[in-house]
Amino acid sequence: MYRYDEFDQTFVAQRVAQFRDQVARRLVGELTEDEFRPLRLMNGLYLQLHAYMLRVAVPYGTLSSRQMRKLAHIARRYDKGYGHFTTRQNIQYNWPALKDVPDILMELAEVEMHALQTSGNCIRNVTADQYSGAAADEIEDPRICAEVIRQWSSLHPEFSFLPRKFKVAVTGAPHDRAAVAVHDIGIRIVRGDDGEVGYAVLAGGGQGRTPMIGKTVRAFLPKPYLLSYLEAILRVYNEFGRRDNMFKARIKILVHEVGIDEFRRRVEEEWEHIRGTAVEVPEEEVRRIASYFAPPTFARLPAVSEGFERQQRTDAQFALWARASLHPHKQPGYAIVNISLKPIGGVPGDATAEQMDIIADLAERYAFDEVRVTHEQNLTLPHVRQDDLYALWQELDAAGLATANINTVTDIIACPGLDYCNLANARAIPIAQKISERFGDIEQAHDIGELKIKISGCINACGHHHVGHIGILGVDKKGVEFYQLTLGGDATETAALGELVGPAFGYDDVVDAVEKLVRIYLGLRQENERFLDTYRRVGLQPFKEKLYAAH
Amino acid sequence: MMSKTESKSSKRASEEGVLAISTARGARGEALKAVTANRLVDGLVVYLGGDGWVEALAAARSVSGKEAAAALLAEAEPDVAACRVVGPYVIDVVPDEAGTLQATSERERIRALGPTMRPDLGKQAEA
Repeated sequence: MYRYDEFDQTFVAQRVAQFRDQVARRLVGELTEDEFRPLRLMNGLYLQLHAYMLRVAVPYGTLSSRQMRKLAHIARRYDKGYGHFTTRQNIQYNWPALKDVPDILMELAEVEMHALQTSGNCIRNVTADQYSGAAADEIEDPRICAEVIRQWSSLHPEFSFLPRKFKVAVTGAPHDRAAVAVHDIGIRIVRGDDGEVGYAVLAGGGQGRTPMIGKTVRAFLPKPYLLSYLEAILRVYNEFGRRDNMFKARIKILVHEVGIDEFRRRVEEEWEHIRGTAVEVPEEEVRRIASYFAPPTFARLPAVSEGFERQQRTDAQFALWARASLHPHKQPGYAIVNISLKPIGGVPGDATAEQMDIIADLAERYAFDEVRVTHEQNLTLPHVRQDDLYALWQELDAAGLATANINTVTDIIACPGLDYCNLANARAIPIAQKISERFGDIEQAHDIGELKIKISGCINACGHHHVGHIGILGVDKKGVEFYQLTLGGDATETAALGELVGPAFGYDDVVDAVEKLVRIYLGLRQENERFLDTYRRVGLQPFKEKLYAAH
Repeated sequence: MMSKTESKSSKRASEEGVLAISTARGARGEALKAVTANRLVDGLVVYLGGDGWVEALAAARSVSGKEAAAALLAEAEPDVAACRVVGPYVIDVVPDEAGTLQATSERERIRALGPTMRPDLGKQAEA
């Protein structure tokens, strides 16, 4: 796991001290809100509907038990006993008092955490595959690349005031679990024709009011050129990005307006210009960073644990959980364990301080002290011995953390929506809860199969509705909440944007509409087809016709 | 500062990074007006009451008509300068059958009470 070096430590400590001074000056009136707002946003502090909201960075979604315990402590001591894990692998606290925030940041710094790059028009906290270093299909751990980008981007003078926020995601595996195609820059670690490992670089993806799938700027970038190439992209964006119109300021608009070929030409031209003089990451530093992400010392185990096999045969509940929650590990005898933060009827992504402490404890005992946050608002224990799965499951179950619904219809992404957010037009969480209750029969959910429902409470799309198999967008029609449904979105390597089905549904009708869509799918599906497969085979029309047939 | 009734997310929201569309919500015409803000020190929702800021909408002062609303909002300004509150704006309210003030828009109802799915949080928890 990455450890701060002296520079990181000093920098974070200085920032906390600066912010403490800024808060003190704000509270006595030496700073106006207009002066203070950009300062608090640079430290992840928003003012939302009910209170301030602090967004804490979890770089590439990786946490140690010690860090998780600190998050629990902060929830308990400074907030209302819970935290909310987000689609950017961060955690948000919904109720901190301004006067306490410097203390919270100081406590975070004690465990090498902070709230930097979680807001503002800078390069945001870099996200990565939650199965990094563990997935059987991984080419290389993407956190090495992500950490290099973090070090390069933190306080980068040229890129601290970009036209708009800038999000980078990295996947190290062919199966994309980091939604890289809907990021400003998406990086896929790939193997070239000769077996050399490098990067496929995408740019211009994003969601929000103008969703775009990222386009390939370079199909293969040799590893040593990572930073100069990113610098070239950022420079082109910084120069040509639309600062005149906030709605057109993201890089996706630039790429779309000039076209990928022209965009690529400009990037390559800039790259030729700066190559050789731009900062590249020294090989030695890459090795240093890589050493922090070195795999733990795995035991040599048989590929299949007999105990685990037997326990699945004798305990149906355990078997169901295992089927939903486990993912193949690269190391024989181990498994990747997903912890659902989507209990039936619960708030997606919320965890209580007690649950955080329990997960920290379990990670310490069963998973080499590591926890991951997923962009789908769940948690992951990346390295668990198959022999330990039964005991782990029992403990998770006792803490309400063993809902066997990962990747099913009740594993829903929902943004905070109008229940918390100053920007929202409609509630998102209660819709997720009602859908979850409607499909609360876990066996039925398994029969429905993989189905990703994603809900946003406004057009900014924090709930990723554009890439939901079923996407739900809350809108405001003359003061009343309505919900538009989209179908066929996909956040993976086969990324696609959902298509609008038709007229929106009211708050009390949208759950019925979702159920109807699921029934239509069940009626249309052929053997082994997921919802998305069926949708791709038959298209929008049959869904549309049947959905509105009774209306 | 904002004087437009219920201009959705106030000036603040647009500057937090994403512009909110200005949407008039709730009943018009007959609605009364009150002034709300967030308290600087802890961010909690407050309303301008008979004697300074109060936490409960029920204790807010309500007025009728545009001019009275603008005057009420003007009363809040010194407290902005004195670092008591942030971002005051006018909201629509109506008295319910018992005469207790209620916000007319969903957004303001949620601000006045707390998250709708967590009755244990926010002002509704203290009621």
